[in-house]
Amino acid sequence: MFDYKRAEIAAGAFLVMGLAALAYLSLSIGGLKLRSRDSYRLRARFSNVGDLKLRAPVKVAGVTIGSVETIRLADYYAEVELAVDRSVQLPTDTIASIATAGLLGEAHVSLSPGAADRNLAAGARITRTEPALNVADLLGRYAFGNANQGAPAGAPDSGSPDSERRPASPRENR
Amino acid sequence: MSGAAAPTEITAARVLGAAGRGFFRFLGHSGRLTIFMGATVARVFHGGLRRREVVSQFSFVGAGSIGVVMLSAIFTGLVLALQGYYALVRFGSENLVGSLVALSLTRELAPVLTALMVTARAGSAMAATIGNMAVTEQIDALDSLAIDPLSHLVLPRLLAAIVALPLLAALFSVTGIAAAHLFGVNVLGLDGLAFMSNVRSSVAWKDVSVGLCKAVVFGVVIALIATFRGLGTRGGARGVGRATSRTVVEAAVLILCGDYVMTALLF
Repeated sequence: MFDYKRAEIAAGAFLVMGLAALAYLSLSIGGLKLRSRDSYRLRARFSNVGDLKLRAPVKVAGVTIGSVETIRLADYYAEVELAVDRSVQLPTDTIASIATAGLLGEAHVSLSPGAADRNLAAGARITRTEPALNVADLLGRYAFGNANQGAPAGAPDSGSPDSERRPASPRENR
Repeated sequence: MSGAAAPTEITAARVLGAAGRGFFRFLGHSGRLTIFMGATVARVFHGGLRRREVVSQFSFVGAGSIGVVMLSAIFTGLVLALQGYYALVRFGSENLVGSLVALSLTRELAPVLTALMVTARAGSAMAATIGNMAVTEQIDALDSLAIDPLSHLVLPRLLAAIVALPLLAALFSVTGIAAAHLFGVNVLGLDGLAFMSNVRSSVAWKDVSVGLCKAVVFGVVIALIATFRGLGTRGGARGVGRATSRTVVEAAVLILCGDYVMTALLF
């Protein structure tokens, strides 16, 4: 006669096994985060985010402390929202730049903390940013001369959203 | 219609006619299947839930398929690791085998292969069981006792498949990755930690979740086609055999087509 008790136990065991596999797959391998209160948001505005993608890492001194949550266009600048671990406090003069792992690796946001007394609060804006490095642009600049350039590529700028006064193409030199 | 053509002659008109009839037959079939699904789902809302049947079907479809699912997963993972290694070692990128295996499994192979295995095992069993009941007039007996075959036979199988398939697909992925990992480390000489870190960095939640969605849809496909074909069985033992093999073939084809459609839509 069909044993209902055994069927129940087998169903339960399978359910537990399946849910365990599901949980492992989602959390450990898929990187699903259960508690999002563990991080706070910061905003930054870049003139060029290059190849930066959603969920790209945010690193300080090469250590991943967060990820990119949203990237959108605002006033022809790229407005990026970062999720940073709550355990990491960043001073208000932190510089955010778009770096690549190696020369042609994956783009990520690199934060260089400054020495200010106060820290960035949740939802604050990182005011000092540097755009993504465009390798093709750099080579072009070297090829066609950069005597009239002034500041070399990648110099930090002050205050307001990333302001790049370099001409877009080397041929605009005078 | 075609005037004086002999009965066995193949004329253009007859070919077109046959194609048209086939198309309308297909449309009718799809329509009946859709109405069937709707009627079954409606049973959930007016008190048609049979707990014992759901549990026993879930045990059959889920727990019963663990063996075949894990066995397939082990060998799939091994083959992926081996072929991936051969392909990547030429570029010095053999440590990307982890990403290759994990992404192939979670996105495509786990839902599809799990569904195909479950079709072969549980889908055929469902069709055969219900088909047998249909040809021995047990379905008519249930009807005459005012017992609704949809809520007693179809709905439990549908619910069991919907819950069991994503769980089985997750087991498939995890087992396949584990097998590939063991194989890669012990036989191919890959670095175990690099393998797992590659897996973690390349698999996103979206890959896992889309794979699980596919598994749910495949579960619906299997249960509906198996029970639909089963209930529509006519013609004795041969009819049951026909219904069973049609179930497996149709479900398998729908799974593969559906996989393409969902990949195109969701990725």
